[in-house]
Formats: sequence, C-alpha cells, structure tokens
Amino acid sequence: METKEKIKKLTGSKAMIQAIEQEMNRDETIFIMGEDIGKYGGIFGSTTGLFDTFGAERIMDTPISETGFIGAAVGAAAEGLRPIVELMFVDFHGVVMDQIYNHIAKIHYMSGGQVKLPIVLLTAVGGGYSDAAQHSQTLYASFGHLPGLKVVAPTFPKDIKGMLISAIRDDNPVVFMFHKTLQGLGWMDQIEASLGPVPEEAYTIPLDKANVVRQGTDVTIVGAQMMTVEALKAASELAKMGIDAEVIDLRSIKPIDKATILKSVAKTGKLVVVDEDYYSYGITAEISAIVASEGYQYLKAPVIRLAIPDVPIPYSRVMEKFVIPDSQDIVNSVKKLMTA
Amino acid sequence: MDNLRNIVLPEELGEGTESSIIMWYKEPGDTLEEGETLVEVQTEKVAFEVPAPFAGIMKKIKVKRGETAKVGQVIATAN
Repeated sequence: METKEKIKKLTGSKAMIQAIEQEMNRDETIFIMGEDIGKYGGIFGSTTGLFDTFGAERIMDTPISETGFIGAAVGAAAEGLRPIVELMFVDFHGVVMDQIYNHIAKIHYMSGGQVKLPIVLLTAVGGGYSDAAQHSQTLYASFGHLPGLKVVAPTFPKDIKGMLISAIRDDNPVVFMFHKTLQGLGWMDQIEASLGPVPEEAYTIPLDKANVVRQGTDVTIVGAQMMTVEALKAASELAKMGIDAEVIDLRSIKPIDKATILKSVAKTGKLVVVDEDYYSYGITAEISAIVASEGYQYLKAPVIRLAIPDVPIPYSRVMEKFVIPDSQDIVNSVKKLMTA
Repeated sequence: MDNLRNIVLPEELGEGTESSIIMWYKEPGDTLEEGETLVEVQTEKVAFEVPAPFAGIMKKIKVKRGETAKVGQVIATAN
C-alpha cells in the first residue's frame, strides 16, 4: 500500500508566500507593490524570497507613499493587470483612504461593472506585542463597514493560503488582513496556531464562509484570527468544567456568514462574540444585531460582547494585555452566561 | 544503523550569535538530501535557511520551534 503523501506544515507567512508564488507562476499579469516587499520580503514576511524569483519588475518596492502606490494599483487594475498591494500596517490607511473607499470600493459599481478592479490589498493587523496605538489595531470593522469591498481575515495557514488564492483570482477588490502573530515569525511570539498543515497544490477557500473549528452544544463563541485562537483555548478550559463550547472562526468580515452563526446559535442558544477591534460599532455589535434580528427565538440569554474598550491600544504590555480580550476573559464570560 | 550524527547550527551565522528556530522543514523519520533546506532560523539581523549537511534520515529534533540555539550547538540528530 502506498502511503498518502505527507502534508507539509507551514507558517502563516510561508502559506502566504506559497499562494502568491503559485498564482504569479500561473498568471503573469499579477504583480506586487509595497513598502519593503522587495528584497526585504515584507516586514511581516508576506513576500520573502519572491523578489529573487520574480525580479524587480513584478515585485516592486515603492517609496513611502501609500497614496501613490495604492493609487497606482487602481490604474493598473483598471487597465487589466492584477495588482497585489501591501499596506504595511492597517493603521496607516488614513493617508490612502480616498483611494480605498472612493476608488477601489466604488469604481466597479459606478462604471456599471465596465471597469473591474481585481486588486488584493494585503495588510498586517493586530497587537499584543507592544507596538503602541498606531501599529496595533485590527480595524476589521472600519473596512467591513464600506460597501464595495470584500474583507477577509483568516486565522490558520491552510485558510490563509486558500483564501489568498481566492482573493487573487477574484475580479473584485479584496482586503486581505493577515495577523502579525499568526505569521509565525522568528522575532514575534511563536504560537502553535501559526504553524499548520498546508496542501502543496494550489486550492481555493471561499471568501464568504465562516468555519466551525470546534463543535459544541452549550455555547457559541465567535471570533476571528487571534480571538479564534483565544476562543479555542477557552473552549479547552471550559471542557474541563463540563461546558461544551462551539467555536466559529469568522474568516470573512465582509460578507459575514450569517447562516453559520445562526445555525450554531439555534443549537446552543447562547452566544459570546469576541473581537480584537474596538467595542462600539464593531463585529460584536454586528453579530449581536444579526442574531437579535434573525435569531431572537433561539436566544436563552443575552449576548455577551468582548472587545477592546473604546480606547487607543496602550504601549505598556500590562495595559495592552488588559484591553485585548483573552481566553480567561472568555472563560469568565461563559461561566457567567451558563449560570444566567 | 546506529551511526547517529549531530547536526549543529552552522558557523556562517557568526560566532556567539543566538538564533531562534522559526520552522523545521523536516520531521523525525523524513529523508534528508544533502543541501536541501532543513530548518529556518532567525538571528537578530537575518532569517537564514540551514541546509542539511548530509543525506540521511532525520532522527530527533533537539531545539524546537520557538526555542533558541547558539552557533555550534546540536539542533538535531540524523543517520
């Protein structure tokens, strides 16, 4: 009997690079622009090694002007190329917001579909490593709020690769958020979730589907990226107390997969939403509203929302840890919910 | 059978340098070809791919992902 070929484990960073490399080999209209994405390989390892493979024509280091190079991506895409552009930190989106929400998000709509903008906007998100208020946000909801953009935020290496390939092949603009801690980089905390099995061949994962990463019957916990990781940790703790939690990895911020969430809440009757973004007007509010409007009959207790309080993210490690929800916060909330 | 050989962190990384292990490309039981990438490490300055110093079968990983090692330190064994 021949054994099945072993599936290699890759970090989030390697999964991204493999996705881009395979797609660039398939389609020569794909190219990358961004700050330090050339020889340096992206400060969070999104393009390491690609410069040596594809050269400066297709892996283009740009000056420090997001307005300039993301604006250039709009023109390139309108003319038939398929640009991947990297906004180094999502926190820097302010200087390029006109390009993002008036051009990238609206030109396909305002041209009646005559102009397509197949752009992938890569951007690094997340905190937890003392990088202070201007380098630690996720801003999931800021982008999810804008019509005309698909916004994804995968957690595990296998999803990172499959969803990035889907994003590249999509004729619509996609904001692809990758979490710094989930890249598995040597100079960050190396957590287990940042390494996982990734099939070698090119494959796609839909851009609009959440994933039930742990089955359970007592309570539904919804998170994305590091909050999924914390939710899984919490679920293991809760299991020791005899509480069987279901964990949903959101994967897509926009569109949001209502069906998967409602189906789970129909089963458990209890919901905790946990978000590494701000509390007000964010994912926790959105999901609570979806369940209140379309799944009210399922709820046996009020929805619990855990998110960063409406303050800038502190530099101090202790204070930062205090504002970002973690597995202990989730465990405490679920315990409260179960006795409600 | 028992010709267990040590694999050390190579000198190219610089004397006294500490490197953290980013990712093992091989697991115990995997076949090694001389020169193919065995492990990626990160020093304070660079990420570096350590090639397999000889062909063989990977036996044991001594320094796991996320841990650090110094130049000359045994990071794995193979035969």
